[in-house]
Amino acid sequence: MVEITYATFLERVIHSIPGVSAVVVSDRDGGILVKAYSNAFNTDNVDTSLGATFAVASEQAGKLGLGKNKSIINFHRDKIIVYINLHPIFISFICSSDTNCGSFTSIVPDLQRGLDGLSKAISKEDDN
Amino acid sequence: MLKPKALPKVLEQANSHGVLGSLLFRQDGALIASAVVPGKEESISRAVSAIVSNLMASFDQHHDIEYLLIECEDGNAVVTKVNKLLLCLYGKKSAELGLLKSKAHTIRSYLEVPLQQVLM
Repeated sequence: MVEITYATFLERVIHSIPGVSAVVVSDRDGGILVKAYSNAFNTDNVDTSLGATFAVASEQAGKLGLGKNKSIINFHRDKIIVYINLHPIFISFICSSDTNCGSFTSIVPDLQRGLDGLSKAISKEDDN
Repeated sequence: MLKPKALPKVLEQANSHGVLGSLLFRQDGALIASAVVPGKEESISRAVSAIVSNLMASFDQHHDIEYLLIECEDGNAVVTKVNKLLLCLYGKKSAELGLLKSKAHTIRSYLEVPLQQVLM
């Protein structure tokens, strides 16, 4: 069986949802764990604080009285950023403004399965 | 001229189909008007406006966010700007994000011009 790297897995995710340009997986401190970009994406556009901002925001959103935060979607003027909380890892998607955001709900189980090893490794580190 | 007493009545119109509350507040979190469904405490509105304004400030570094959609395990919330103010609708899980966004868009369109006259 061919093992694929996490970066390759994320590249497949990028190709599976039209409009997604970049995916960044980070820990709760905002440290980037793995990332992938589409060919056309300008890497200068990546704000490295994306993960850190979301990790803090997700925790705050969990205090709204609506249960734990699962995701946050930002509609900017020229792009959409989708954040998914798979504690202890946080995933940020940078997408074009016409991306179908509903698609992300359906890929969450696949993301959990594909990044399970990474998630467990981060959990172990947090426990130590 | 905007009638302050009319604001909660306008916001109240969004409170159906799972929407639990609609809030209008300043970007520093200070509540201006709110409407919550019967049975919900009004004090929750202040907490929600404080938290949401903080979230908006964290994400909106370049002042170009049009909508912020928040999905939680037991409910959803949507935030948008109305001139220099923030509008937040939140609800149970049955109030889907698309519905909340559409309602927010409608209220935003309705309040934009009157609030512009007041906030100038």
